[in-house]
Amino acid sequence: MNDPNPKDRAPGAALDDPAALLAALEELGRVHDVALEMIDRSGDVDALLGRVLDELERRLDEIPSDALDSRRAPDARGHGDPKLRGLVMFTGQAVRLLARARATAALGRRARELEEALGRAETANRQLDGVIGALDAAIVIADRHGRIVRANRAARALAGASDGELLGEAVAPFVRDVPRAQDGEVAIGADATARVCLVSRRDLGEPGGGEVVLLHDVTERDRATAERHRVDKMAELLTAVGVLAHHINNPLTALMGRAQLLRQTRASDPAVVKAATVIDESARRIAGLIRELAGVAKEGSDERLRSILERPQPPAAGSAEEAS
Amino acid sequence: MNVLPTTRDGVLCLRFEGEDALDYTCAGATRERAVGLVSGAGDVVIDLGAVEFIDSAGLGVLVSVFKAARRSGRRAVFAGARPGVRSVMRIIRLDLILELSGDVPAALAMLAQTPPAGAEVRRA
Repeated sequence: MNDPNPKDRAPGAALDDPAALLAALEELGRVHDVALEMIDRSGDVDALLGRVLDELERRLDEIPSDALDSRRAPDARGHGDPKLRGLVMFTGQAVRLLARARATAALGRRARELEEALGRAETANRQLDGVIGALDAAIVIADRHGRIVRANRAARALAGASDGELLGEAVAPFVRDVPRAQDGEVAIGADATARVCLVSRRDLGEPGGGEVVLLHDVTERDRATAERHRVDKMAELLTAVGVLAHHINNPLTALMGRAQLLRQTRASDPAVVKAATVIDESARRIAGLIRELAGVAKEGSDERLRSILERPQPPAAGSAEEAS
Repeated sequence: MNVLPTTRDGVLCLRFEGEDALDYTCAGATRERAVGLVSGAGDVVIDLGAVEFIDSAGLGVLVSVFKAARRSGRRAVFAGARPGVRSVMRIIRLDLILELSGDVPAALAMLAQTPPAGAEVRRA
């Protein structure tokens, strides 16, 4: 009768020898028991290897020494010995289990490493969010395709966008014509509310290949500079007004004195008296204006100067009489 | 069989020498001496270059030394096993259970690296 599967035959069994067959089957049973125990420990490589070594040591001690003697030719060794066959069967299973357990442990370790790396990346991400969120300067981070992947609060405010609204959008409106890795100035927003920003574009390098864009809103600074220039000019103007008022005042006093003298000395000539009166009134009006201007120059108030300049001009002295 | 201890690159090296066979005739004494030297030492290389022959008792000594090293939280690498010794190791797949290397320098290089994946040793 043919053996249906010779590989399943018990170790070292001589099928025509019931005692040998029984011994072989007992050995097979022991190997089977140890294999089940090893399977139970296969979740722990260290424990599994320890169990394998214990069993190996015990089994090597049991088998006849000549069964594995390297001095003997292979065919002269005791390969038929049921203990040796059991040992070979055991180590075969042990090696497979160890390989599988080591691979599983390696996968588990890799999974833990990945999980830890992911945790570190998330922490770094949160820290980065915290840092760029705390900065007053607007920061936009774009991927290598020029799409925004992160924008801080200042950047969103600059663009008039809400949380998350900028993500995935093109970075171009923030950088306009400023070339990559360079600095420049851009106007962001509609004309009436446009903000002027100094832009710095810096490459992030590999592996992401993106860039970080730093925007410094200088709109208020420009306004403050213009205001300071205006104030400086006004101060210079007021100083000039003060000096002029002083210079005009002396000849004006002389003019008024002469007009007064003419009215007294030529009182009999109505035309001279009338002309002298017009001169005197006009001079007094100029003197009043000069006093006001001198006061403004002393105070340094450009608003009062503006009110003087914008005041409606009164009719010239004596013009109504001349017209009649 | 004598077990000659030396130190190379800070690693204990045990050389089995004096007889050409590590077999049942000397296994007990060799096991006792080698295990005693391994216990408490650092990583260890067992130089088998002088072992011409081995039997199951000799293989048992190697397993005992490997176990002793693990118990102490050490790694043990068996170096320079001759073809005949390797052939009987292969029969019982001991070459896939123990750590083997071609010679002592290669064994020292193995120990300088991190342990193989999943082959954690029990630390004392």
